[in-house]
Amino acid sequence: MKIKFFTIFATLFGLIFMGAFRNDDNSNVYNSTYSFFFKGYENSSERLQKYVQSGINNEDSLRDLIHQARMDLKTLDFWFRYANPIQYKLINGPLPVEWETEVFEKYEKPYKRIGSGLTLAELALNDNDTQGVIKYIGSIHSALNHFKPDSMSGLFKTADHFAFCNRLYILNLSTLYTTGFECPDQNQIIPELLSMLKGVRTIYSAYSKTYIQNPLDDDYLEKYDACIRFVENQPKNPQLFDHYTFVSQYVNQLYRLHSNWILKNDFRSKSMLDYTINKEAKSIFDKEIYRGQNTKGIFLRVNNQNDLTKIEQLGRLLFNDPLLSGNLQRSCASCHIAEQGFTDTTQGTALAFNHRGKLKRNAPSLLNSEYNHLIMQDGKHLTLQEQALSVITNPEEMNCPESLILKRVLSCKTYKTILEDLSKLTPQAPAPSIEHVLSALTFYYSKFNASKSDFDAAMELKLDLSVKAKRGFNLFMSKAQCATCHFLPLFNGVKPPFVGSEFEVLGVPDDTAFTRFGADSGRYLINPSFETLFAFRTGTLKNINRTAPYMHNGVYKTLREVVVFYNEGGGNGRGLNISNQTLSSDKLELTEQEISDILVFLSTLNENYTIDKQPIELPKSKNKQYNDRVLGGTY
Amino acid sequence: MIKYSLIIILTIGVFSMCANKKSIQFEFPEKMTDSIKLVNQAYAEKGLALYRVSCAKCHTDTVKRREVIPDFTSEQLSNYEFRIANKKHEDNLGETQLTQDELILINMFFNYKKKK
Repeated sequence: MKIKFFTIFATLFGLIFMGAFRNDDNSNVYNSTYSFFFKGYENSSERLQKYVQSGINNEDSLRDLIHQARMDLKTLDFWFRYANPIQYKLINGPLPVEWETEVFEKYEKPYKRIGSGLTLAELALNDNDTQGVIKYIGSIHSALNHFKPDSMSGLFKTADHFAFCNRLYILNLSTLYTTGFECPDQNQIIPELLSMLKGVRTIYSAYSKTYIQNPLDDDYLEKYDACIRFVENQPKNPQLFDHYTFVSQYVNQLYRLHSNWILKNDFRSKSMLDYTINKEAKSIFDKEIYRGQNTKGIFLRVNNQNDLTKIEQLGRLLFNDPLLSGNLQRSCASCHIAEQGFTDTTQGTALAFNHRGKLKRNAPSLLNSEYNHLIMQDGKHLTLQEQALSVITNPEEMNCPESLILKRVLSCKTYKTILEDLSKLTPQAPAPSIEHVLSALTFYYSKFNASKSDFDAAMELKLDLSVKAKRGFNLFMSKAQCATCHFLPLFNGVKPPFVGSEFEVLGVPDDTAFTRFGADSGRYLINPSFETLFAFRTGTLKNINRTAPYMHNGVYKTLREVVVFYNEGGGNGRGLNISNQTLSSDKLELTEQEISDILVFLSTLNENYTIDKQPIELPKSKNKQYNDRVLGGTY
Repeated sequence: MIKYSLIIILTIGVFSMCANKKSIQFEFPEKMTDSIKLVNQAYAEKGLALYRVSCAKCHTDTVKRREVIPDFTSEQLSNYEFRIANKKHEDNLGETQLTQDELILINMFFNYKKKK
């Protein structure tokens, strides 16, 4: 009896112990996987450091060691980039100094972040800069301390972090990992991508074992495995890699499945990296994928369609009304012409307010301006409404004193009635105010942002682009290096996680013969530093085909001229000596055929918006001197 | 008679509602000049209106038909952390529902609201 009892007890105990052990084992799989990859990278990083410290005897050996370390780092990128992007810049940063990117512009002022690590070390090696190599490799070790397995255990406590690491990873599959961003050796891009895809597959398996409450869906894993097979069968030369199929058939599909999974599991983020991303968006090419600006302004809480139509109609009238300019002759529509992509395609830069001389900068298209965090080409403004006010009051542009704006608008009975009606919808400002005027303007022109391009449709598998356009896109993502600055999905300088905008120094001349340069200091005017002198915010390429002329000063009349400018290595490539140019001065060596393919691709970024052409009549003012004004202005 | 009592009840109701609205008082630092006080009071009132729209549903108590608004420090309303403080905040106080500028106004309101 005793023996029997003991046997049963022992068996039960054993089962419980084994169960507990197995459970414990699985609960550690995820952490062990992290430790495994971390140790692998730590070892290769130490080998690299020792080699550098012992004196660089052989450049090829050093390059091999850097490449090996990069390979080992690739899987960790999945966690590092999300967990601590600032420290990660010291391990594999793209630039020695950065100001704007990853700065959460609504909450933080730009601050200087130092870049270092493998990418910069390899670039220094290519330039025979031994001191640079030593410096860039030397900083890796201390940064790596921030990612030790112990430091990550807090993040790993719940499954939520995984969902958001993975979302950022999928987004970056479409923007960074195939374009050569942070990868100086073109031949390494696809092998590194493949190593990363496979490494992350290991993470997925470990994740599903440990976080058994929220396993990844089978359809997601099937699509992911198909994606790995696709890349395995692609040429290793990034110029021959089929970026078009990769993004449309795989990456964007993975994003859709993953978004559904995030919603289903109700994952919550505590990181401000996730702040602007819209959980509801099911496609990277959904225009709502991230939130840039509040286009409704003070009318934020208005959702009734009739009220919104009223705001839009008010905005449309005001947009075309020269009442908002000092001399009653210039309206918003004078420089932002709806039929010309909300810019003025006939002038490099607009006439100054006093008709003497020209403005310094090209009037940017208003289309998609909502998807910038910083407004204006120098990033001067945080909100669209602030920007609208600055143009109306700028002595060189519309020159209307701020104190006059509301008075003039309210002198028209039509405006007064609508504004009084609408202000009832805004409890914080129950009487008509300048905020209502500005918000109506920004709401009106932003409604055209809702439309999408053929390219977006193609990425969502709703249509197929021509062979030429596909070739153009593949060049855009590889040889032409456009995608290292113009990031999908908006083709602007806002890269995932979509919290900051990038600024670049291209060396755009003041004349097409490259005899003059530097008339405009750009970002330096707002945030003065060596890196920001002559820097401008990277603009969107959506609708680029219809928003000539180009660059901050409108120096190029055609898109072909712009592509040729890049093909020749920007300002430095044409002999200007700009010490902080961020664009490589190396020639791209694009052929005529390739340039033509890129131009065809760019035309697929035109969005299919329609402008209502109903005639509008300006409201009459009780002040008769205002009633001679002409619809749209006379500039 | 019923008519009269209805009118009286309604009048009391309207008066008490007004009294409730007026029960919020502000206090400003002594050394602040009157003109600056006026400007700040205007901001604080905007902040109060926004508080009533975006926060009052969960945070305002009604005690004897009076609106009782708790005190919050500016640390509690600081920036990003405030928006993810809990599930309700995360779902209802993203930038699509309350902008950063509006949050600053609400902060002004709590800054100058007379503390309990």
